[in-house]
Amino acid sequence: MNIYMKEGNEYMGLYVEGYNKFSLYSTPNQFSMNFMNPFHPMVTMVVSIDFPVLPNFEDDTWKDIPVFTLKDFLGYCQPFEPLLEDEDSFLYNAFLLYRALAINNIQYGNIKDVINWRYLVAMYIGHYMDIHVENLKDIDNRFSLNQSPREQKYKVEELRMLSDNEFMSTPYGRLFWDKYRVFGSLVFKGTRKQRGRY
Amino acid sequence: MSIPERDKLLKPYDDELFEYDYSEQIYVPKVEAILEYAGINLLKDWTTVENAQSYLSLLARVVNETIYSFKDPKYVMHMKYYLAHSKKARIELFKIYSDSAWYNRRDGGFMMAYNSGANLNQGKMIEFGIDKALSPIAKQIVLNSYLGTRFLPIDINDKERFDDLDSLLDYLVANDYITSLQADSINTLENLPYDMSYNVMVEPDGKYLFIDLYTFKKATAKLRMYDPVNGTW
Repeated sequence: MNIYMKEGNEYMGLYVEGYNKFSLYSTPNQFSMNFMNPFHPMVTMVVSIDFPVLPNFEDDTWKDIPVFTLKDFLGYCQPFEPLLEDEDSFLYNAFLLYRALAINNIQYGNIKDVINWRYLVAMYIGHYMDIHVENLKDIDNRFSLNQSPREQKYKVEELRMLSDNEFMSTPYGRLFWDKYRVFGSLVFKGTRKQRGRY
Repeated sequence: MSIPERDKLLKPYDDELFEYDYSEQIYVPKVEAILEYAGINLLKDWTTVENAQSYLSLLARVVNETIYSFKDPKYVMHMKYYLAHSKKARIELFKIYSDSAWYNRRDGGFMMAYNSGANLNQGKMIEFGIDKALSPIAKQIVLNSYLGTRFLPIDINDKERFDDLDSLLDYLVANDYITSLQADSINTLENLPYDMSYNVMVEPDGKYLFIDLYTFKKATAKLRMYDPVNGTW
């Protein structure tokens, strides 16, 4: 990480705080120092981080996210079509909830491409809907007071993948992770914070 | 709307095909209907209409219980509600009843095995299992419809859609979910008071989706209950 201390004047005026620039004039001690000596050069000093370039939180280029509807989801995840025929289907409520989760977690600003973003959101929802339907069926009587089968069959490779990554447990999750890990690796995670729903 | 409007019945009804047995909450086919649509004259076997109708009540119970056997026991009551309130299910049920009436009339059908444990076709004792209650065709009719799924894929909760928050609040006030005083102070969905009886979600097109989570509870509250004092339903 290269950190340079520069004088703010080189920016032809007051600098904008944030992005990769931080003022030194932000603590009570510095305020007192400035009060005693308002012409001290530290007042206009700025710390500028040249590398790595942090994402600019004030940037609103990707703020307007594209529309993602049920039709977009069914286009990619066609097996759900009989279960999600329209807005009155029994899975529609779950779809709305997972859609909100997907839009919140897969930020459009990180993908920066509408086609890939829609694909990822669809796969993300598909992954959780798969688990949701599996839980509804409840073949093993896991969520039931009835007797559940004692023996359960697992494949060794399934267990290995499950322990690695939750998304590996479903076909849509695998497709999601296969593409998202490329985008995800480019997302700077150091001081990046979830900014909430756009 | 949950069960689609075109398919939904407000309550089960009697017609030339069925009469609804409120004590068991099942549709029972009529003797004349089986004669007309399935071509089976049960009076020949059972001599009187009452006897034949009792036989059909038993048949209806077996068919319904077999359909419930496909379901996760948690969802059996929902399935009962669906069977009683769906036009489509009524049609499917009659197909299964007709087929079962045929299947059981043959010597050695499940009724014979049910009563005696003997299968006259094979001339030996058999163990009576639920898999023998329906004919292969009736079983396929069940599997081809939603009757055979483990989870009922029909949302039975009533739903309403509203274009904006004001019309949603008007609906909530009109149906006594909130008071008009509360409605005046609500600007966003987050301000809605906590209530387990309903849910409101925002759809992708910005509309408000109201879901009545107590639809089933309200319906079962109106069920005919046994009155132990008078001995009536």
